[in-house]
Formats: sequence, C-alpha cells, structure tokens
Amino acid sequence: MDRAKLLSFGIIVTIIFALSAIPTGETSPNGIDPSISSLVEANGCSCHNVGDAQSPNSNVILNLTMPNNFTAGETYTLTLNITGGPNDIAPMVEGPNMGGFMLKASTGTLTPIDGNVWKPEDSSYLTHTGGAAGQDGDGNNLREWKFNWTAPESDTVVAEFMVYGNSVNGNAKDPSDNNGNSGDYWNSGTFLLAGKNAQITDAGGHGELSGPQKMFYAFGIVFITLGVVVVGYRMVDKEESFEEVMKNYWKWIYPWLTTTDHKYIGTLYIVTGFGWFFVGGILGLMIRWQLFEPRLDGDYLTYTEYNSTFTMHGTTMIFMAAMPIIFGFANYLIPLQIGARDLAFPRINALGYWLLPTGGIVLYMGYFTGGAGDVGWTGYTPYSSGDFATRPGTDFWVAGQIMLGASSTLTAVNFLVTMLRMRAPGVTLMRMPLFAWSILVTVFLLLLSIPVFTVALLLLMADRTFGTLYFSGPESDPILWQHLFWYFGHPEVYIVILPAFGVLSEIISTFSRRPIFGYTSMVYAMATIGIISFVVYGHHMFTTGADPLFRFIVMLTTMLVAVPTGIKIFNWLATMTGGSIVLNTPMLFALGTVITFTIGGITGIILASIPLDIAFHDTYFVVAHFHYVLIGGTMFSFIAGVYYWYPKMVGKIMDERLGLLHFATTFIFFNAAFYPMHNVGISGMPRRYATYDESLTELNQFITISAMLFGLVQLIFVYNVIYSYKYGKEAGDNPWNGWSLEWATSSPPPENSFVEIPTLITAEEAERNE
Amino acid sequence: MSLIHDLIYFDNPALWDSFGGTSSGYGGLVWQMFIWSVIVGLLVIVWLVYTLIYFRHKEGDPEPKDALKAGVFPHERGNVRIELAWTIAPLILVAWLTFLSLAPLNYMWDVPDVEETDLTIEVTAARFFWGFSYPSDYDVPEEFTKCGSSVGTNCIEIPANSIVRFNITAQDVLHAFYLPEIGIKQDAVPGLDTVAWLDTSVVEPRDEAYEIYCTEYCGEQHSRMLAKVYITEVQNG
Repeated sequence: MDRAKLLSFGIIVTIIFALSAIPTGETSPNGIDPSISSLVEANGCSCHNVGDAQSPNSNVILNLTMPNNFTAGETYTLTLNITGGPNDIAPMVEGPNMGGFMLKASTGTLTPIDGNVWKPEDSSYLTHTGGAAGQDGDGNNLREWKFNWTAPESDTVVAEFMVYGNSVNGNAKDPSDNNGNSGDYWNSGTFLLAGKNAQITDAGGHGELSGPQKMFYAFGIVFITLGVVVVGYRMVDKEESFEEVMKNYWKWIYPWLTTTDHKYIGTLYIVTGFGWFFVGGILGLMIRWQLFEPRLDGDYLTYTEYNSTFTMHGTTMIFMAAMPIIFGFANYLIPLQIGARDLAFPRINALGYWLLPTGGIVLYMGYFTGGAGDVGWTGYTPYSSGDFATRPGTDFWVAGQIMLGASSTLTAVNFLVTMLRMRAPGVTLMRMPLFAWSILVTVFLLLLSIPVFTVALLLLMADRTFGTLYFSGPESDPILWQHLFWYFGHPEVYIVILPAFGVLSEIISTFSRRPIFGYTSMVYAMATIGIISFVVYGHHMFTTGADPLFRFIVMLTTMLVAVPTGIKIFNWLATMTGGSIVLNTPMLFALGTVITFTIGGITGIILASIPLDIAFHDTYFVVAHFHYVLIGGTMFSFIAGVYYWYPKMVGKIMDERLGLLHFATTFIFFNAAFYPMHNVGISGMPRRYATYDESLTELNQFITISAMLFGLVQLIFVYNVIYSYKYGKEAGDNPWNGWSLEWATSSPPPENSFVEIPTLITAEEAERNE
Repeated sequence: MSLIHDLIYFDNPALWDSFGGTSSGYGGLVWQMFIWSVIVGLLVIVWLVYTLIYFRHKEGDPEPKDALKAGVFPHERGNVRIELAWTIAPLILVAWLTFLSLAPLNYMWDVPDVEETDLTIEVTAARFFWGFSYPSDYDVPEEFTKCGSSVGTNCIEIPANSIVRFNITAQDVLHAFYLPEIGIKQDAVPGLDTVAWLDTSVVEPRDEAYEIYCTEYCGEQHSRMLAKVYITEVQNG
C-alpha cells in the first residue's frame, strides 16, 4: 500500500514537472535587429488616418525585386511593388492616390532615380512623392517604384531592407479635401540581400513553439517520464535489470503486434479508437477554450492554429475514433454472433488495423512540420487544392486520409465475405442479430462510398503536388470536389450511425427481457436507410447555387430518411412496452441515446428543409445537430456497448455505481454543452469561426464550461474500465441474459472463439425440444 | 437570468417574421417545424418515461413468456398494423413539412430579373474582403453617408423599399455571403456567378448596420471576413 502511495506521488510530481515545463518550451526569440525598425520614422504609413491604420494587413503583398547577391560598391536598380489587399477588389481604375511606401536599408546608400521617389533631406530612407505639400511628382499615383541602391564597400555583409507599403483607393474621394481616403491598408516586410562573400547563418528552427506543439510536447514529456517512472519502479521493486524488464514488456506486447485473432484485433481497434477519441477530445476542448471569449489572433491559438485544430478534431473523431471503435466491436463480435471462428481473411484484418495508427500518425505529422492541415474535415477545394492551405500539413492530411480509406475498404471486404460465407448452422440472414445486420448494411455503404473518396483524395493530391488542375484553375469546377466528397460523406455519417442502431437494438431488447419488436421491419429500415443515404448528399450543397431541381429532389429524399429512422425509434419503444426493464448502465446509456438521437434527428429534419437550411447552413445550429447525432447517437451507444460487452471481453462486470455516475454526469453535461449551440447558431454564429460577436459571449462561456466538464467526467469511464479489470465481479457466460451466440461461449471467449461451432435454434424448436 | 433567457429565446431573422401568417411562407414554416419538433420529441420522451415507470423489472417478477435465452433465436414479435401506422404517420408528417417548405422556396428562387430589380450590386469576395460596387449608371442618393469613405470595401448602403439583387462571385476560394439577421445565404464560387436577392421593404431600415459574415471556410482570417449593409430610406427613390 505504501508503495502504491509512493508511486502515485511520483506520478503526480512528474506531471507537475512536465506541466511546468511547457512555458519554457521556447527558444529565445532571435528576431530582426530592432534598430532597423525604429529607423523607419513612422510606424506604417497611415497617411489618411482612416481604415484600420493601427495594424498591418497581411493581404497587402510587398515585393522587392533584387539581384541574387551584390558586389561591393556597385549600384543596383531595385523595384518595389505592392499588390493584393481590399483595394484590389474594390473597383479601381488607374488614378490618383493609389499607394505609398517607405523604405530603409541597413547598409549602402539609397538614391531616387525619378520624380516618383523622394528622399527627405537629412534622412536615409526613401518614400513616394506627392504625399506632403511642397513635393513634386506623382509617386502616390503608383503601386510600383524604382530606385537605386549603392552597395556598401564590403561584400561580406547582408543588407536588410525594411519596407512599409500601403494600398489606398484614391477613387473614393472625399469631396471636402479631394484626398483619396477609402480604406488605407498597409503591411511591412523585410527583404535580405546578401553580399557575394557573406556567410549566411541559418536562423530557421528557432521560432516559437505553437500552442498545439506545446500541447503535444507536454503530453510527450508526460508519457515519456511516466514510462521512465514505471520502468524504473519495476526495476527497483522486482530487482530486475533493465533488459529483464524490457524483455517482460516485450513478451507482453509481442502477441498484440503479431496477432491475427479477431478478438485481439478487435480490442486493439477499440483501444486505439478510444485513444484517438481522447486526442480528438483534447482538440475539441482547445476549440472551446479558444471560443471562451471573442479572442484576437494569437490570444490563445493563432487563427491558423485554430483552423488546424478544428480540422484535426473533425478528422480524428470521424475517421480515427468513431470508425475504429465500430470496427473494433464488429471485429470482436461479428464472428461470435454468427458462430464463426474468425474473419474470412485474418491477415487482411491485421493489415487493415495497422494502417489505422499509421495513417493517424501521418495525419498528425503536420503538427511537427509547421502546422497541421487546416482545410476542415471536408477539405473543400479550391482552398485545399490551392496555395493557401498549410504545406506540408495538408499534404500529410491527404496522405493519411488515403491510408485510412484503404484500411476501411479492406475491412469492409473482409466483413462482407465473412458474413455471407461463414455463418454457423441455423444462422440464416434473417436470424442474424441486429448488430450483425447493421454491420452488413454498413460494409455495403463502405464499399460503395469510400473508393469515391479515395479517388477524390488522389486527384486532390495530384493538384497539390503535381500541379494538375482538377479543382482549381479556369477550366475546372470548384464544386466537383463537393459532389465527390459528399457522395462519400453522406453515406459516411450513416456508416457511423447504423452500427449504433445495431447496438441499441441489442441492448434494449436484452434489458427489456423481450424479443425486439418488429425484427423484420428493423432490418428493412436499416437497408432502406442504407439505400437512401446515396441519394441525399446534395443537402450539404443547398447554398452552392446548384440546380434547383437537384436541390428539390434531395430535399425530398432527405425528408424520407425520417421514416425508417422513426420506425426504429418506435420499435425500440414498443420493445420496452410490456417488457421487464432492468436499468443497468448499458440500458441507461442506450435510453439516453434514444433521447439525444431523437433531438439530433429532429434538427436533421429542420435542416433538410431548404429555406431553413439556407439560414442555418454552416452555423452552430449544424454543429449542434451533428454533435447530437454523432456523440449523442454513435458515441453514447458505443459507450453503452462497452458496458454491455465488457463482461464478454474481460470476464468481469463493470462497476455499476461508477457507471451510473458516469451516465448521469455525461448526459447532463453533454446536453448543457451542445444544446445551447442551437441558440448560438440561430443567432447567426458561423461554424469554424475563431472569434465571434461579443453579444454571444455569455452563451459561449456556458458551452465551454459544460464541454470542459463533459470531457472531465469521461475520466470516470476510464477509471471504471481499469478498476473493473482488477476488482470487477466475475461475469459468467451470460450476465445480461442475451440471446445471440456470443453469449453462448465463455467470457472471455476461448482462443478459437467457440469450443464447438454452435447451432442457432429458433424459439419454436427450443419449445418442441422441451 | 439573461443566460436562461438566451437559452430559451431566439430572434427570428427579419425575413422569417415578414412572410405569411401561420400557414404559409417562412413564418408558417418555422412555426410548424417548431411545433412538430416539440410534439415528436415529447412523444418519444413521454413514451420512454412511461415504459420506465410501468414496465420496470422488480424483484420476484416472473420472466416474460418469450424471455431471451442464449443460443435461441427469439420469437418474432410485431404487429403489422401498428408498424404500418408508424411508417405512414411520419411519411405524412414529412410530406407536410416538405410541402410547407415549398412556399418560401418558390419566393426565394423566383429571382427578379433585370426589369424588376431596382438595384443590382456586384459582390466580389476575396480573402478576406467583400468588394461591392453599384452599377455604373446608378446615381448614389445623397442619403447614403453611413459607409463614409469606405463604401465598396466591406461596406455597402442600399435603399429601403426596393428590390436589391446581389450578383456574387469569388476571386480565389469559396466564400459565402451570409446575412444572419435577414436569413440569406449564398456561396461565392470562383468562376461562377451566383445570385441572392432581397426585398428591402420587408426589412426595417435602421441606423445600425446589418452584418455580413463569410460562412464558407476560406482560411486564416475567415472569422474576420465581415462586412456591413446599411438599409437607408431614400426620399426620391
């Protein structure tokens, strides 16, 4: 006991040490020589004192044309121009008062060569003419200027040019003073020109760490130190050498690395899925913290970091958390439920699994190369195919997605063959458990949709790396990506919700102690949802200006989804009616899911109506909707699934009191966090905004606090899993009195899943036998 | 208090309030959607709570006749008539809601052509700005002073009581033109001209601006890509 206390004390000290190390994870900034910027007399040229004169505008692009290097004493003609910025898109004819600049060189001499450039007396910098009274010239009618620069007597130095340029729209004249004073947008830039013999020291790699990087390094430090503590503790405690400890760990980990057993791979999938769920959850909380109040760029995350954060959050949650958890349960349970010893292709199964962590790591590589992908989980072109998205972060995002797609496709083929060819005697298709049916429909959807996404990703990758023009450029269609993506993307959301329906059907039937109401209609409802899912994708594109007839048709088909979904919900309720309901944790979560999923379904119908979708599209109303169906539907039912099948997988029942606490807190904080998002969305807050209107601060703070608590109470679940693994009650073969074949084998199942392949008999046959 | 108020109350976008009574148009659609959402939601929750109260398992309860047994496919349970009822009822409900969606849609998609339009504004979206321009033959009324000198860049002023058409396009990536208080949203697509329109007689002219947001993710400053529309009453307009 003392040892345990000592160990936990050690861990806490380690964590405190690691956390306190975060702020020091920066090198000292090695910025430009401050004397240069102070030499430019004005802090930017805000000639007209209108517009946002206080801060530079990154869209104004300064360009200084220079030779590659300079020879001592020689004179060069340099060209400075400014482009971009808001004044480029406002109507602009060649005219008065278009721009201005101010330029200072760290060494050498600057001389004007024409009337457009002016060098004030007793100063060393250049600026445009025509600005102040008393100067001749029309330098402020231009956005490009030429001047001479005479190099210094030494060619071993690097000359630094500090430039301020501003873009004005002189056409919008104020009649009172005839000055051009529309928006005045300026930017500054530094250009380096090296002498022929200059030694250039590479100053790269000494930048500040970004917020997410700090987060990653902090977790890295925590995990590494934890590892050291655990290994060290074992060495001291058991008096083993380092090699012996490592050998023991290796012995333990080796079967997991080499297994092709569906139960091991299933467990790996589930653990990996929840692991990524944790990572994605941290990212989600970072989003919420950014939105705690309307923040300026860089207050907590810079806007680019924020964009990466929501991109990785979405991608992680869908592809690396929800789908692996589903595949994990399917892996573990499908062979058991249909009475097979393993999947049809165990090695392909292992390959499919190992592509998942690999693809995930590739996706996350962006964080170590200057910013993860920032294109949103939808990756809309031409933003993602153009030059704007982070590079190489977005390339990693594309590459990782292709790997995950390959993983899902392999797994889908595997399940399809297994379920069609390897069912035990008596298990006809119409006698499969509903979870197995949901997986069967799901793998059809996967096989028909994922390849389209993979193709789209390959085209995107070609656009990004080989310079093809599928998605950007005058001849291409920027909307094409949306068609390809949503053709996959909409079935994808049913891919993650259908298995949840399967889990709910199993749990509700088992804990009502009665057969599911309307088994046949449940199967047909799932198949119908699967079919409809391919003809509704256009409802993501109601505002793109697509053909009205196309939009009208998808509105109709989208509305139709409510019918089979409604059948399922009513059938569950009918199953409970007249049953003998046992309220254990799995049932609590399942019933919570029915409520939250119903709310998500109702908002789905609201969004299907085009006039309302036009108002709600891309606002937080949509965010609320899909969190209600994805967390409140998929995640809740799979958490219920963990409580339900944990006894089968481990042989021990999870603690009921912790489970009840987990359910109550989760359900309350989930609704507190996500319900107000409907209100925020109706008030007009667009999604993917890093900052927002001040009037919504109070609601957003409420959401953020609830979300933090929602994240925090999930630790109860983690604790329960570990605690029950050690101290849980023995489960026995069939703790919940379920009917399907997995309950007919031992808990945990033997190596080959069944001692003897079982035969499924019907209730009528069972009665006759008695 | 105000937080609770925020949670249960929301402002309808102006356009929603301004159409129809309770049976057609936006107002009607919003109202019916709200009512049916509450009805369906309550139906599910009440039914769920009802089963939890009346059909709980108690100590000593006998097992149901068709209780589940491991390895035995249970009795088929169902009732065709009941199942048909809750297939057809949702079908009728969604058909009704689809039907209701048609009236505002018919209005929205009936884009006024050039003769019917009082003012056509060219909207150009680029990272991260909105450019607006009046037609070259448009006499800008004297009353238009609210944008000041920044008219055309992130700011535009339009007359009240007239039909205003926005021809929208983008220069670089996708953007979306969103007037949250009026409920208009239209993507701006590079190389494509899209249209949104607005009858300013249904929107209140006021001194404050109506905000324009960009709602299609476009990069770093996406959340700062904001603009303003002023709706001003014009004397001789």
